[in-house]
Amino acid sequence: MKFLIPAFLFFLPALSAQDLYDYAHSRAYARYLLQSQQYALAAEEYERLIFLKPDNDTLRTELLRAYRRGNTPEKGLQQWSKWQLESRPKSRLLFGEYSKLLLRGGFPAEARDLATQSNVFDSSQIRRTVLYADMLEQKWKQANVSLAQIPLSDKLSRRTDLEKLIQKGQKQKLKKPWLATALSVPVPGLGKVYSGAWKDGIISLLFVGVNTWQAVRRFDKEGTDTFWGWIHSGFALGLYSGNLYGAHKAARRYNQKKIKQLQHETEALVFPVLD
Amino acid sequence: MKRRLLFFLCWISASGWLGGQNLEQTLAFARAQYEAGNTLTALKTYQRVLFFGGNVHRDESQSQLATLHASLGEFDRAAFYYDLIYQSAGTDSLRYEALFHKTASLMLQQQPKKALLELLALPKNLPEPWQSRKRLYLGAAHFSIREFELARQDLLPLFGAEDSAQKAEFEKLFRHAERVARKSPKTARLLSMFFPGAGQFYAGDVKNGLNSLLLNGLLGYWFVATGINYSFIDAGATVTPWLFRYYGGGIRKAGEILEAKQEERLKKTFQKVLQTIEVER
Amino acid sequence: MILWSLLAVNLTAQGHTLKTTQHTLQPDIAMLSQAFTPPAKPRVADQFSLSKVNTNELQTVLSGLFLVYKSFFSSQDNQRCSFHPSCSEFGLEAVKKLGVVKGVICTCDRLTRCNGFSPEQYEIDFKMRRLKDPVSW
Repeated sequence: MKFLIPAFLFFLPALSAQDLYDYAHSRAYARYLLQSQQYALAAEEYERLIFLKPDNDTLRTELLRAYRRGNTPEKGLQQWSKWQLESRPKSRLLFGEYSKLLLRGGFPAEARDLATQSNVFDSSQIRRTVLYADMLEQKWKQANVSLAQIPLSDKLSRRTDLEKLIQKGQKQKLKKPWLATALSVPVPGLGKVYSGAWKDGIISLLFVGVNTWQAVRRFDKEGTDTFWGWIHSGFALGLYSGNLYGAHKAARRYNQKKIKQLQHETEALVFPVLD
Repeated sequence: MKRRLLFFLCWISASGWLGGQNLEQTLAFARAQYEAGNTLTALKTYQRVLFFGGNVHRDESQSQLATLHASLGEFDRAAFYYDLIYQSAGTDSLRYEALFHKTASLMLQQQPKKALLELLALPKNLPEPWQSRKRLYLGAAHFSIREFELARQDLLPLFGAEDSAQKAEFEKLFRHAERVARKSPKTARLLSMFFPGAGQFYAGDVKNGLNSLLLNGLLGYWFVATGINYSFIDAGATVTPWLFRYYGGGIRKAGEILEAKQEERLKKTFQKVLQTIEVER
Repeated sequence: MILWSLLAVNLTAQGHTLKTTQHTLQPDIAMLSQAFTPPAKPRVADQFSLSKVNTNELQTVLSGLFLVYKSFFSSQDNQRCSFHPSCSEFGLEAVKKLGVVKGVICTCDRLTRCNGFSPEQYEIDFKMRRLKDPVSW
């Protein structure tokens, strides 16, 4: 007894000592990081936690969430591919998060397949995933059908906005690049006007026109023995070919811009409602 | 029974001490990583210490986090911690230290006005050495915004009362700075308007002055030659757009060059001012 | 980084805190001297690394012309191209990447588009503060 009490007092401080890297501490810290939106650090912490407890589906879910919200979905997808989940019961939470990760990471088709084929999701979850996948793939007709199949009782968030966007997508009309070039053959710049770049079209017409006119004027005055006549002809030829090619490109740029714009709008609408 | 219980408690406490990594060990690790230059690891470890330690080691964690973020060039994040320290530090010296660090990082980011705001929040009289440091930073910030007289008054007390070579040099540099700042971009532009390149020469840029002079001379020659060989209508149509671009460009650039040169010279002058202070101290 | 570690040493000299009372202005002067260093002016050829990589004589000549244009004409110009890469860089890159015919056609189209009237067609390169228009066929 005489020895034991001092011995106990000696080791008492150690009792209060904690392992900051043990499971409980790390778990609390990881949650704090996730909540305070420090996603990269949170992901790192969850990676370590999963290392400590390999078979915890909640941890996995939260790790995938950290990667998704931290705008690094590819890392989450990479981790998923390493996990051997075949022999385990499928967790609805984990698979739900995985489908969101697929949508976020640019794999809407895979998300749709997962939702419809894996028998993990409930019907409202399936319908929502299919709708988001349709929209992200810009399959607007299909999206319209998918949206109609979601009953109002499902409480889909921002439903009217989604509806509006789908209608906008269905109405979208793209330009034909070959038509733009064809229009530019008789009238330089016309193809650009058709492609929505009417100011560039006018400039094209002006550049080609002025150079051709100057060349013709010089040839009229001085015959073929004229330096500036040939220079202007060269410019005119280059600018004319540039105009044919430019009309094609203008139509493509117009289309790309429209598609990208709609893509941005879709992502801005869909990604936040995934949570 | 009692004896067994005590035994058990001892065993538990001992094992707790032996295994795992506690706050102190984590702090030691953070320090070691910092010393080793592993910035990112140190940063993460100090964040952990701050989270779990609460007020214990708070000052150290915060100041180290600020320094580490600043070293990574993440000045906003660093400023966040400097502000925290300034508000919560236990000692005045630590608070001032944080404030000077924030000021320094603002000066490095070329934001003298923000630096000035920080410095003016300090009490008027500080104990040494804080007062001297405050004067130094105030002088630098005032000099940056071209308040030379204020800067001179800030910095002058850093020299001894008696006249010295350094003090004389200091005064000379300030007169030089005033002279440099007096040149105006407007004058440079006007000069270039009357004679292409003149504004550039005035700013002290011989290369660009010659460049502008030559280019405009050639364009002028081309204008006259086209006018004589073809017609002046042709000359107007072909050469005027170019003349407009390069003559107009010369005028605009004269002003810009002057401003850039001025900034460069003033910076170099203040570096020399700093040298005189360094030698004096 | 070096300067910061200099200060950090000062910070951490006593028990790893900012507590130290500094008796010299040396670290502050070093820091301020850094803040008052004029920015370095890169040479024209260093700014456009593309002009240094030439696989044949034509490319060498073009790169030379490009550098002459950049140093003696572009530097004096009142107007500035609204795109990144600028028209001259675009032309050089287009000819190098796509060959003479395609490169020239591409550049001619670019010259007509460089009018500043239709910024809405392009994405903005916020770093360069210019409209994005990379070389592509």
